[in-house]
Amino acid sequence: MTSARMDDQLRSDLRELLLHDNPATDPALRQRIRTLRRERVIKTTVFIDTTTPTSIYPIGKIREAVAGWSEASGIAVEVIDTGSLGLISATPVIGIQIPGRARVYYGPVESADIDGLMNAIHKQVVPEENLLGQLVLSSQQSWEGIPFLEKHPFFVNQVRHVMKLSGIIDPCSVAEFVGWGGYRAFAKSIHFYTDKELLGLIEKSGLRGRSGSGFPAVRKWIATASAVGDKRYVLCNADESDPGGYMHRILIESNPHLVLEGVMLASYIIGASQAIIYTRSRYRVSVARLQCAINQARAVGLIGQDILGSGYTLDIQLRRGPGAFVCGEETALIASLEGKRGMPRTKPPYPATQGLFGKPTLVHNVETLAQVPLIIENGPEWYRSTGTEGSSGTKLFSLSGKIRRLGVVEVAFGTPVRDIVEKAGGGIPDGRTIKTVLLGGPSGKFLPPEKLDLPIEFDRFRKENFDMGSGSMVILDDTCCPVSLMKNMIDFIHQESCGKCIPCRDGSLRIREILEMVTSKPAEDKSHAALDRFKGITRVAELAHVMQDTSLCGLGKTAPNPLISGFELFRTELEEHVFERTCRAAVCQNLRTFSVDPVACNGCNICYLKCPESAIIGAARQVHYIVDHLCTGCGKCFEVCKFNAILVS
Amino acid sequence: MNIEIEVNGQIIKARKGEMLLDALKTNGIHVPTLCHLEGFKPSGACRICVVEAEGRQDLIPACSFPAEEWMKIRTHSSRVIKARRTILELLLSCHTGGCLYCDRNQTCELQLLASELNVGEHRFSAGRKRKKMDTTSQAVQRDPSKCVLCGRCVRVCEEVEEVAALDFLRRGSRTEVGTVLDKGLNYSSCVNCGQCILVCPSGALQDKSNVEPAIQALQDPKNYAVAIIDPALKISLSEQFGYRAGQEFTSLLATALRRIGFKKVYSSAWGNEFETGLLVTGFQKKLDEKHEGPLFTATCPSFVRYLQQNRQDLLPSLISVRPGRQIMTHLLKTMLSAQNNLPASGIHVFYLTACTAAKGELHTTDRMIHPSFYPDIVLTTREVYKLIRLFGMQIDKLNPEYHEDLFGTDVRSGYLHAQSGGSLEAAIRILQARKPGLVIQADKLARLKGSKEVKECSFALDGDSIHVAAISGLSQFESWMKESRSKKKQTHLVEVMACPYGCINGGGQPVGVSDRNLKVRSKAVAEMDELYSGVEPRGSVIVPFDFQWGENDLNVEYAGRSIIR
Repeated sequence: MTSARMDDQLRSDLRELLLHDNPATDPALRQRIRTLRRERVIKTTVFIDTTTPTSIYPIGKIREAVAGWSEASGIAVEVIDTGSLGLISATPVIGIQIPGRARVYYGPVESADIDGLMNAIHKQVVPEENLLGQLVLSSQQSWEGIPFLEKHPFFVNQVRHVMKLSGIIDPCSVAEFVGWGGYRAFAKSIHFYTDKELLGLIEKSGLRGRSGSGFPAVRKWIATASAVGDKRYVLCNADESDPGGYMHRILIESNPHLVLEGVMLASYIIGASQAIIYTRSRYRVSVARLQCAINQARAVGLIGQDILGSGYTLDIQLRRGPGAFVCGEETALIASLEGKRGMPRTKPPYPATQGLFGKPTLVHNVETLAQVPLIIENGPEWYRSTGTEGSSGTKLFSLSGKIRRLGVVEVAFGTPVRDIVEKAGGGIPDGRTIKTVLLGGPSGKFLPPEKLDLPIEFDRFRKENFDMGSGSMVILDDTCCPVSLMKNMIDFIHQESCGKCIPCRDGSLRIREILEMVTSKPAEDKSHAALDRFKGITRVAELAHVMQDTSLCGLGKTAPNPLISGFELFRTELEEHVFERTCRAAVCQNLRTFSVDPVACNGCNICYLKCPESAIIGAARQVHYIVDHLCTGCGKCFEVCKFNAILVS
Repeated sequence: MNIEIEVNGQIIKARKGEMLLDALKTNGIHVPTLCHLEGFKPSGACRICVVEAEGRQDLIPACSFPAEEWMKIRTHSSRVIKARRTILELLLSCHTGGCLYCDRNQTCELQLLASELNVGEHRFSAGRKRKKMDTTSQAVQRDPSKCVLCGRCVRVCEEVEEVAALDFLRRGSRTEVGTVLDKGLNYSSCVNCGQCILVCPSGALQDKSNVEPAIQALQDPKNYAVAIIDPALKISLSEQFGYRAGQEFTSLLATALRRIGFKKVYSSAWGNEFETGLLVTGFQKKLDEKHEGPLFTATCPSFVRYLQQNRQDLLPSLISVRPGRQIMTHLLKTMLSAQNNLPASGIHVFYLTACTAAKGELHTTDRMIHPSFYPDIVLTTREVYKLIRLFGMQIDKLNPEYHEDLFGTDVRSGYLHAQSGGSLEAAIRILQARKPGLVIQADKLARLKGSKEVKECSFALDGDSIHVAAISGLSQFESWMKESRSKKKQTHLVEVMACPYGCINGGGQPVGVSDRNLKVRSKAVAEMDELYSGVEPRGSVIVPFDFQWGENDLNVEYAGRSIIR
């Protein structure tokens, strides 16, 4: 159901549900809700995760396999595209539900597995291989002896509020979302609450912006609501583009209606008549699902003139940006929406007073807005019961790097970082040890392993001088080279800087060049190279501080964070790079030297054949030799040698 | 409302909401700036003006941070100075640095800043890439490797001229100021006004230099070199020589030019008056034809080009008579070649002006058809200064001579063309001379004077009420058009000049000029006008010798004059 057309029966049903005081008391409605939630299914139903991470897997083949099985067995099967459960490393995930029984989730699944799985489940047997767990909804009969999904080690420590329905519902079905109680908070609000009362609820909940700084949301809201202007806007920043950060995309692709409801509530509370969701055109799944959600909400009558007969009018638009990291900064985002070049401007005036087209504008990211329906629906006391005194509620993190289980986790504030890494993430694979955690991508800081017990909390982080960032968490083990990573991060900034202010534009360029010198090939050093390198490295810290002090926007101000914390934390490794010209982790290509172990080499000749630089000499059944000055350190020989005869140093 | 802020331990007064930089300036505290442009919204791009404020982690830009009560500010703490210097060093590390070969050597704001912040060492020396120069335009030349990306030209081009020929391209350290599709200025919507040159802090924007061709042409014995001097140049040239602004240099300039090798030196005032006479005739004719909508003067080449590129619907409303400079060039070429038995091509006319667009005008198809109407070389104020210096003229040691009189009389209103509103005033004078009954009160005429961007006045002519307006700045023109359309206001004649204030602030004028200087220049124009107050405006311009204008010579359909790209 992607089009805006919707049959009148369904529309009136949904409206009735939305406006009913307590649908649970009405038996007829209760039955209806069960059907909407797909607790009760008539046909066998297969739920396939089709979010962006699955795009590299042959989902089409799985679909074909399901259809093929259905044809062969004669059992009708309904296939539903869902969002992601959050466990990306188990992709592709499918859920299978037969009438009357609980849903079971499997992942990773291949198309060849489908026949076996479907056959077994229809014989009332649940295979244990690749099983994630069973999801039991209230009226279903559970499978005996089969672990529950919420007891899976990835989920057991999570507190899933905004991610509650992710991977479970069809993101393109407003009916299912309403069946789960969605849009009721909005319907209730516009009929029975004034904006002041709602603002009070938000204030009591202690909601803070999830974009890193943890600015109390209500202060922004009050400023926008009380600013003078004939029109107000709400902007939802869905242009998430931190390297390593993907939680907003997963949330949007799994439950776009929740984000939409948050936008609607925020618009109602501050009195905005127009809201814009800003995403980028490259995020195809996000764009499609958001657009579908907007169309459906409009079809139900949740967007448009006189919403549900309350007299409130709201229009929501989806805008697609061309894709620039800096457009996540609110003033740059506004400039981009106005049709200008996406460059930030100086604040004050803040967007709350002069934002889009000079009108008061509220800008929040996806995660913050997704919290709002939960607060209104369940009340601020419920919301405060999770998390800590200063930081209430939950926070999304996306795990990546050297970790067993990758994915989006939602934890209550106050959870130590270690719990996320070791419990939900399953720790470091291959018996390696953890080196550090980079929180917040290219503008974040390195968290040393001894500080892993630091609880996730805005004030605690600030006190310890750490940045939470927007929630990307990159875990690094001892095979990672921090210098190379820092170079990578500053390289990202130098490419994504808008080019407006000097410290960010030229500072990042110079720092990158200095780090480039540090990791340059020793054999290619020219006359002053060593001197330049020493001089440069003594100036990086100064440059980084100037960038922090004087950059125009948050991008430049936080860009040196990985450098400043990295220089402190990995001083010895950096010095090795500078003075000894070696890379301990053998990651920096120019600092690696390869040699042949004459004992292990049996003269198979494969390295000689594969070397792209012809830097290896040798003949069949004779010990080979690597010519240093020809070797570029690409590591091809190391990869192809089957006898561990290539040594790296 | 006045508030108090603490700066470097002293308490100073500031207006609430005023930017810190302005508050500091009024109190005599100097904070260096680079991207700041007076009269524009602050952009906060360069971060040179950062100051330290108590209670804030980072440094704040003085240019774009409003003063709040009891702020405690330190403008020159070691942290601030270090930050400023580092920023400038970063900027210089990307700058090409060939100061000695730069047009702006010694007038460069970047040089000044470097000496002010005591930059001593090339600490960040790295890949300085020379970028390709944009020499496609006949008027404005861009050298991106000297550009410091302050964005002033971008702001002026968009906010003052509404042309937006220049904008930022690419991002990160590859950012550049460039034109549409990075194709060069002649391909873009540029109208050659040269306002970007006036605001550029470094030598990234210059007018296309004609100094070398000028020297060659002057020293070629076959040439009969003639100079036509624009009145707007006469009053601003003194500033280049270090004299007070607005001092008239006419006679000294004439002496210097003759010494350099010009055979004759004329003032373009005569041509301007001739043009105004034609303008009035054209205006009356179009009035009789009951032309709908406002009519526009075609004096300003930038404005004509703007209409050709952006508002072709308005071209029929242009009173398309030849501008004074062309009339004079044609006249001189014809007259002098006859007098000296030379071919017309032997008369080499130099037009000395404050206008960069006059250079661009040489590249129109009309020049191919009517070459005698176009000067051979156009030199701007800055180039004239260079030329005089190059020939070793010590301007204060020269005996003042006067420039050639054309036909025995001087003209009065021709000088007014240098200023916005001037050619309208001149037109009204001629109208009065032609219609002896027409009386316009002096206070009504005075409304066309002054430094406002839009000046309007109305009077009665043959029982009709005639409304005229003088506009300077193309963005003002656009907003005026919008307003007059929405208010259904009837205006008969509109004079538009692309440069704010008119030619006295033309793109060829000396750089780095304050608003005060412009007012002085404007006053000097009035003084010059006053000087010739005894000369009565004539109802028609008579060429007192046997001279035939060709058919359609003076009336030119501008729409037919395309620009050579």
